[in-house]
Amino acid sequence: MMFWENLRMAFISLKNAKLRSFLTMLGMIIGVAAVVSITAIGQGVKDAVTKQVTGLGSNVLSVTSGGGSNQSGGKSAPSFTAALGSSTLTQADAVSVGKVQNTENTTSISLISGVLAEGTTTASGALIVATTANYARVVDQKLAAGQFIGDDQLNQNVIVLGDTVKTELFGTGDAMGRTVTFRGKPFTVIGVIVKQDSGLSLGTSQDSFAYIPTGTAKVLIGQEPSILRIITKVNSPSNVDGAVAGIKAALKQNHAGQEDFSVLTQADILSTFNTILDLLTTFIAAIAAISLLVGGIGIMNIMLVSVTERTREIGLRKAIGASSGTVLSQFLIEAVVISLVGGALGIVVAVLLATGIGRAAGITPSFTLPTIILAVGVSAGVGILFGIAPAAKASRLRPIQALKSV
Amino acid sequence: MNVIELRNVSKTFTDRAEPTIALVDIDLTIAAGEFIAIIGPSGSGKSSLMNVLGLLDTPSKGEFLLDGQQVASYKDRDLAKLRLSKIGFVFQSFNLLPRLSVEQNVELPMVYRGMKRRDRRKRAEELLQLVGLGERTGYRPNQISGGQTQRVAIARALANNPSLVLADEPTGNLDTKSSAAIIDELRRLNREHGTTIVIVTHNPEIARQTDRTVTIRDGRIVSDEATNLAPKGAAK
Repeated sequence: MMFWENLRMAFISLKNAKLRSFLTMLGMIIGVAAVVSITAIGQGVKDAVTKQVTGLGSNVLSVTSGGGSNQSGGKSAPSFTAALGSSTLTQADAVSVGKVQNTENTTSISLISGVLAEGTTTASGALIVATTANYARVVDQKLAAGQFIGDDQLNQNVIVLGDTVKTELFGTGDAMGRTVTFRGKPFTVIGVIVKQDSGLSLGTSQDSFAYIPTGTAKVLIGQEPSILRIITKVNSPSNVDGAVAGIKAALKQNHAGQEDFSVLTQADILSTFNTILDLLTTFIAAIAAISLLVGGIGIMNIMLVSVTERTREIGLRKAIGASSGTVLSQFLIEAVVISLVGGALGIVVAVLLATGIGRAAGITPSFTLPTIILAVGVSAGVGILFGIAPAAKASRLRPIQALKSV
Repeated sequence: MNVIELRNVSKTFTDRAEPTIALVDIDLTIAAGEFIAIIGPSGSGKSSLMNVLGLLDTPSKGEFLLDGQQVASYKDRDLAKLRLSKIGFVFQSFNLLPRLSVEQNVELPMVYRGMKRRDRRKRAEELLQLVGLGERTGYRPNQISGGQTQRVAIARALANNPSLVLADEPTGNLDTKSSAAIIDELRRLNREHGTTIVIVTHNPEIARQTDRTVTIRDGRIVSDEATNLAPKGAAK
């Protein structure tokens, strides 16, 4: 009963000093909004990446050039500098990987430089990837039209377009069977890949890829294209570890005993990425949480001023018969109400903010229940923590002295 | 039945630079239904006496029986409870909480008592009716006159059916006309409802309108006599 009355009283107090209440809350609003929106965006990025990576399948392995620092047993991405240098992987390696036990299908991808055009229209952002028919079997590629490069087309001038590339060249029109030119040679469009729903990608979006057969690429550039990555599919997720060991052994042999390559499972890629992202999200959220602390101190400050200002009110209430406990809970509830209302407004701001940022960056922010509960809990906690001192001060006032003060 | 019995009550303030003696050996009995004034110049100890009577302070020495209950050694928490149920206050100023409506102010003691909202509201309306402010329930304290403010305070003082209404200079901030009206109001409540009323004042004019005047000076009761109530309107 007293609780509801105190709650009602708290809202009356807040309503009577709207500007002050708002300014007091501002710290909480900013703090909660920052923490919630950052974690929501972080989670959204994580969701998108997880979806993209696991979309490839948990039994897909990729081999990249550059030594991994796996010697200590830790899982790690290859060093970036090694990845930037010329690849140490060869077609022979791809063949070796394909021969490792339990690998089902193996393909390689290489990047071919050059401009893709249709008449005078060029697809400026297009990335031309040379690969084999197996690519479609390893990576689960859905086609919007036509089909992927077939086993019998490895030396033909055919091309499969990503969604963005297709739109750049043909707009909304049909691309199937049309001819595009790449490095002066005509290529026939035999397929268009379905738009990947995630706007986010590790690196360039797959929508701006266009695929040509490896054999054709070799003729085009006059040499074996340098291999960016060998991708292979293991027949069952339980055989992944064995396959990794097999690939390492086979390639080490090819590379004169040097482990100048890395074998990554999708889980490795995911965990590396998630580790970095989690760290980043936690770090930024922790910085944002400082504003919660500042907000809490703001509440304490205002509540202390309020207690001093309302000394006579407290005296009167006590004279009328309010106990110290009643006065304590009145001021405590007021502080908690300020911080909770601030927290609630903060969540609203966070939703708007994260949705806005998400839309601009092509991420769907993910507001998880634990985050919201945490935000509300933290706001209430801040209210209690920083409300106790002023409330205790109010409750300790003696009615005679409080009534005498002007 | 005696509402108040003070026996040998003394009050010494020891928390000051030098100990101050505020009340010395006060013996005072107030019966139920009395209308009494405690009068004295400022510094006489009448405020200290009022604080003791109103359970806002405890005597340093002596016995204090409120409705026959020994309360001299009560702790803060119990005093608050007793104030809630036994004492109604009317102060000189800052009687009402400015943020609450007139009715909410009257409800306050009932809120602290844990009364249901509906019952409180009904009782508050009755009380405001009683003091002639039935039309002003929704007003804010700053929207009514000083005299009306004091009436609201009286209504609030009566909320929990106290044994004693303590009015501390209730007309101190009022003009002559409103002042007379407030005293009349208290008088009427005393007569019609048998409410025990103690007015603490420095003003002999006010004291003259009560039934009994207790004069205090230098912390001692120097006189305690029935007031010779001159007929109203008689030459002063």
